[in-house]
Amino acid sequence: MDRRELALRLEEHLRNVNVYFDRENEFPKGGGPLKTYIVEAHAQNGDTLSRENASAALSEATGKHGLRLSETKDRTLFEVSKGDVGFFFDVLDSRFWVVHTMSNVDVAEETLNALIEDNPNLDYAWPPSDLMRGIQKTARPLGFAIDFDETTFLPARRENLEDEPNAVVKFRHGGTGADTWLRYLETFAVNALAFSMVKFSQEDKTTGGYIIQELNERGRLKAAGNSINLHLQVVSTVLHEYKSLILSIEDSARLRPALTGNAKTIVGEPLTFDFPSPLRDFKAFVRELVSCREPLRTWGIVEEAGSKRVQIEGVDLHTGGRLRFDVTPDFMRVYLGPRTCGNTVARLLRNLQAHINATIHIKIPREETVPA
Amino acid sequence: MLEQPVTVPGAGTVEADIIALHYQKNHAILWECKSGRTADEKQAKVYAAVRPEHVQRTGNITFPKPDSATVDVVYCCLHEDAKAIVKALQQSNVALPVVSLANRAELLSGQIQDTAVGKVFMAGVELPPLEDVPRFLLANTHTSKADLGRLLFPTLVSLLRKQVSTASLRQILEETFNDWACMGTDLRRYLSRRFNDLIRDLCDNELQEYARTTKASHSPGELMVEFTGDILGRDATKRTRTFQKFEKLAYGFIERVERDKPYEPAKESENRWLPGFEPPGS
Repeated sequence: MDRRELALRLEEHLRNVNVYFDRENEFPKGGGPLKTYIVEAHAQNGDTLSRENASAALSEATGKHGLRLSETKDRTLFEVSKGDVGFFFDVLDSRFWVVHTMSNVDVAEETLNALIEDNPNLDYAWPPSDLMRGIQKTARPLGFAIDFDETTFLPARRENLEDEPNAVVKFRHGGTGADTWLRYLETFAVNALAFSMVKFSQEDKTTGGYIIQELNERGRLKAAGNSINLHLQVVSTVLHEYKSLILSIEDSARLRPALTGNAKTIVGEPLTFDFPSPLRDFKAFVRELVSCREPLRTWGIVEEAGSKRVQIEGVDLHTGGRLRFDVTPDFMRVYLGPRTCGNTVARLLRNLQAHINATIHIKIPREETVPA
Repeated sequence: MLEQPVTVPGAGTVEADIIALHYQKNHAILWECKSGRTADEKQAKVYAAVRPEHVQRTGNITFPKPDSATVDVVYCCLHEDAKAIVKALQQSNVALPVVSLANRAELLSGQIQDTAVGKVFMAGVELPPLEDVPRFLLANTHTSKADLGRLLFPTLVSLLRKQVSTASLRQILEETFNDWACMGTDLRRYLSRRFNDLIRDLCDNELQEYARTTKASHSPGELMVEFTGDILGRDATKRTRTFQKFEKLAYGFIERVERDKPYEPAKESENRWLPGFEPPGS
């Protein structure tokens, strides 16, 4: 198999599947929409993968998990399977892998989740809400889903949130009036507009091709329609946008030594997340931050620096990169080490938006200079 | 360059807290950051005598054009101490500029030779509250052993997670301190010695199951750490528990170093989390 054959197989699948995304788990293998994921990959030691060793890393990860890996005629394309589940891994970008599957969503995601859980050097993409909306706006909007839950980072006993209408908001809209609905929702629940899915369609009038897609909060694109080309174009756009975000985070925020002329300087600045309203439970949030568990996957030693302020010396358990945090009820500052992965910041942001306040954004620092 | 000694022959040596070089301007500023209300007369006289060649010869700074290089020395202190510092400098007959820090950084007295920088500090630079200033510089020659332990332990956890087989003391220092490349030699030596002791202590005690010290084959004097724990080989749940255990060990280690106590393995089972920050279910 090569890419052309892959495209033909995927397009044939697209033509034969139903477009009822919501009922996908009712359909057997091969009956549901095409799904494409972005998986962010490093070497086991956290290093950047080259094109040559990306396939070795994939082989190591899948082998550990009992998945069968088959090469194709394209050296950057692999078939991976286990029982009824099958994937196509495209490692053309050695860091941001593209993974297609035609398998049933439940078993496919169970397999992919297990693969990522067992291999901490792999991670999903975590597109922030505004990136998802930006992608949707390039096409014809067909709906969205919101999944906001403040109780996730709070102790189980915080039942009092039940009385607050915007503390837990789950909403799914289908139809072409997404913008009108969102404007309405913004008037009373702007804190909760954390998109867990955006749906949109595109068509090519010349060829009669069309595609309907759902992009979710872990970078998964579900597609139905008749044009694999349109699907791959959107995959490429999502990949490009997401990769650009991660690279700009790393470029601006990794604190690292640099030579300017022959002078040694530190370049990079910490990232600050401002919380629009103070954290409901500061200690519970900090506990979650250093719990070593999913979804944040960060390790840390907490040092109190005042009654409402902590400094954390930490480790990103995805790649093992060093990082540190300053956390107060009003803001969090993140210091990345010279090789710490930007995907960790995206994961953090995504979870802050989904569980603290959907309006939290990254402020990418800009260099300030004294005029010469 | 941080905490870099500069020697002026016949006058003495000062340890500049920061030396900032503007390569294009061929100009360096030596910052003396005062934490109290006094300015040592001898130190002030050395600073007053500093010339570019002293900075280049002993301050590890390379000016692109040594013959035309220029230097400023600027004292910097909290606003409430500034008048006392200015007075102390005047009594020493030293005319060096003083920048005071409050909600603005302002030039309180004296003149900065670099006119662009001088203008900026004359106008004042808005400063965030001190506690909101990002922590770029993590240690100096007065940083306690316990505070250094707090910086070291996460680096060892980072290396364990990365499954590196060995790491040199130098690598561990570079991983810990983002500003390592900018540190003066005295500070580097201080941190190297402290880390050397702390690493040996950790490998003999809290981390004995996971790491041991060896000597570098190419340089027997250099400390190496060999990591023996297979963290990634465990399943996800066990791995998470192992990392949670490292947090517990880290708190125990820091507390032990703070109190200068020997390691007591039996104490490992005690709850050592910082109150209120225990992970759920611990």
